[in-house]
Amino acid sequence: MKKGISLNNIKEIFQKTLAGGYVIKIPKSAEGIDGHIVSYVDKESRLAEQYKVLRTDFYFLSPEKPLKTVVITSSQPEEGKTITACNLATSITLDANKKVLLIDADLKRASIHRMFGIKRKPGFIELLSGNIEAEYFLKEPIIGNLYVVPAGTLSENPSEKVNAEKAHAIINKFKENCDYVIFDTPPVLDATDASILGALCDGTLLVVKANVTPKRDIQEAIEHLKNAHVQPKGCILTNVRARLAYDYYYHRET
Amino acid sequence: MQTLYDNIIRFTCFKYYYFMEQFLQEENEFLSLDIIKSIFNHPWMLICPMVMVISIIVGVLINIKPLYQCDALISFTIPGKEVTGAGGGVIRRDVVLSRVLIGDNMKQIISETFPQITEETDEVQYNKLAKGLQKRIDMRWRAGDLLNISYIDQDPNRTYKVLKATIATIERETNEANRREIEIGLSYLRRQAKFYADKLKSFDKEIEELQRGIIATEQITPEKGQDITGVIINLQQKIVEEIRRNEELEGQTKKDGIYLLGIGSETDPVIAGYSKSLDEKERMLANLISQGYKQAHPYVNKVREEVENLKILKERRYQDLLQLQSEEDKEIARQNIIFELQKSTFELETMKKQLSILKERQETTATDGRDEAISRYDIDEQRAKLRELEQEKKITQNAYDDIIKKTANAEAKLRQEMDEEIGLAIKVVNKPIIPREPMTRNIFPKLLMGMIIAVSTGIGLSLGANAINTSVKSSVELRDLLHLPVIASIDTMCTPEEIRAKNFRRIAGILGLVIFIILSQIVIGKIM
Repeated sequence: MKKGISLNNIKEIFQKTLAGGYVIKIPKSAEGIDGHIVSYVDKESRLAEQYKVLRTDFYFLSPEKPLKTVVITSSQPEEGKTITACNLATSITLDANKKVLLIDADLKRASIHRMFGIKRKPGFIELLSGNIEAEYFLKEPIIGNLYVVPAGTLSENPSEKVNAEKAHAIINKFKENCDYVIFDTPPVLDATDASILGALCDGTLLVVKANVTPKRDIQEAIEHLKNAHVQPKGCILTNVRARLAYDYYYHRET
Repeated sequence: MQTLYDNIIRFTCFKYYYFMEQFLQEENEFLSLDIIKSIFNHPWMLICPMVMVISIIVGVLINIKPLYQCDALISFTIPGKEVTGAGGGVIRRDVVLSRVLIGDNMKQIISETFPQITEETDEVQYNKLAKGLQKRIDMRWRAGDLLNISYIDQDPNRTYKVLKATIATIERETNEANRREIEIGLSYLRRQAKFYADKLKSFDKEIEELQRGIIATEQITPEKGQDITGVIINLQQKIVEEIRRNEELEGQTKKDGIYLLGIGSETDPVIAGYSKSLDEKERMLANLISQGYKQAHPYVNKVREEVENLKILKERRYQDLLQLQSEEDKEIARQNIIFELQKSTFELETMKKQLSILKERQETTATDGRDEAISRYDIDEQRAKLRELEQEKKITQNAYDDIIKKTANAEAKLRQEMDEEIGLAIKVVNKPIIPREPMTRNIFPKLLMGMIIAVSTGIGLSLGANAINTSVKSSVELRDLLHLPVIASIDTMCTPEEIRAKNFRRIAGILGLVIFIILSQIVIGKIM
């Protein structure tokens, strides 16, 4: 049903224009989910729609052999990997109730536990060191059918903990039990974790922050991945300035 | 008719669409959407220069003191043409104007308009002022000989004074140029006059020579068989006498006491008496010596003493008369003697000519026995030649008279010019008046120009910032860079805290601009 544009809509559009994008209205949901996970907190927002588009495109990236395990990385820190991974995972799980596992493999700057309001440990480090079984993390979903593996105990050299063989075994195990496994990894130029995990997973997605990430860094990150025999499947551009016309259209339609 | 009209319309539309298609293709290559977008990616780079430039322009326009303009129109005439017959008025006019704002003329203008500033007291300030006046006194030619002069200043009275002083300088400089030109013309005429005078002199000499020849030929026409030798001896004696007289006259011209001789002994009876006695005594002395008396004979000595005494007495009388004579008498005497000398010289030259003719005739007769040399001195032929020469002299004389007349006219004109009675080279068509209203400031064109400058600067800065920024800006760029599919473009996500920080930065920026505007107005106000 079409709805006329109200004063509040105009105000919101104006605010968005000033901010240059989506403004988080609810800092935290009743379940303790962070406002950044718009796919859950503000499902009807334009940003949530964008994540739905991401989800759809993700499905069609490899139609013959679906990407069941995927690594989300970037060339530099603070490019929006974690938010993208969380929103992608949430969006998939809310779509047809798919079983999705989100693993926080960024052991240095772990933040997924904060996003979902859960404990940091036990987590991926404990899993790698064999202190805990994989089934432990598949007991209780966070949202719908979404399961989360936090980073785990903070250690001095987290990258050394990521062993290819162990990781391979863990991935295979999760692959059997879940529809999708999403890894949030550290930046390619910071640590080798993304390269190791990328080689073991079905695909890798590179997050690039518009107007911030230098082209040279992106190319360097791609070189690193290729050297580790990882072929990135696609890119996700974040921090794009919102356009007024889209907002107007969106608000009229909703 | 309708078909033709339709065809024209179709053809025009086709051409238009074809052109637009071409234009858009080219334009797309040149002005892509990314470039336009990149300009709007940095709105502050556009806003800041605009605010700054416009505030500066507005500040200048508000603080600038009102300016007054004074104008005058001068009409130029080109005098001096009739004197030399030469043109070059336009060049001279420009030369006059080029001298108006320099040297002493500028000094004069400054002394009349800024009496407190002199070259001696403050040389730096004086030079600065002179340069400023040179720039601000605007002289432009309008149709023909009309010169428009204008001057802009903050003080309306001063604009009037400067313009008045400038016009006075132009007037003065023009008169000076006129005078110079007339002087040059005069100098040319004088040279011409000298040339003709020399020519006339040479004619005179030639005519005199010819006349002498004619007279000599006429005087010596002895018949065939006449004793030429006797005539020659007689002539030689006359020549000796004339030489003596001539020398005496020439000697007299070299001393102060010549003039009485020039007047003649008849004028003074005492000198006449002395002269008579002196002649008698000298004759007596000559007779005594011819009779065989020795030089040392007492009687001869006595007569010689008497002669010497008479000479002394005569000389004393001269000296006495010399003191008594007036300047006028002296001049008359001088002229008389000179006339006598010229006459004597002429006669002497004539006699010499006669002698040479006779000697030639004597030689011819001696060699071939014929006395036909006279035919070589054909008097008629000489007379014809004389007439011819006289005719030429007359023509030259006329030309000379003409030049002398012109010179006299020019001199008269120069005197008039110098007395400033006539010959003003300029006429003030529109006199300068003290301006009452200030000039219009043309605010809108200046603002528009400022806007254009500001927008250009902003666009330039935006493009520059974009060129420096090597980050990925769009999904298309990312796709082209990596040759990978861009599966999503996610908008910027901001927390309320981040927005607050952003807004704080914006307010700080706006405040910064406001402070800049206020400060710039204060600074401009102090400068202007």
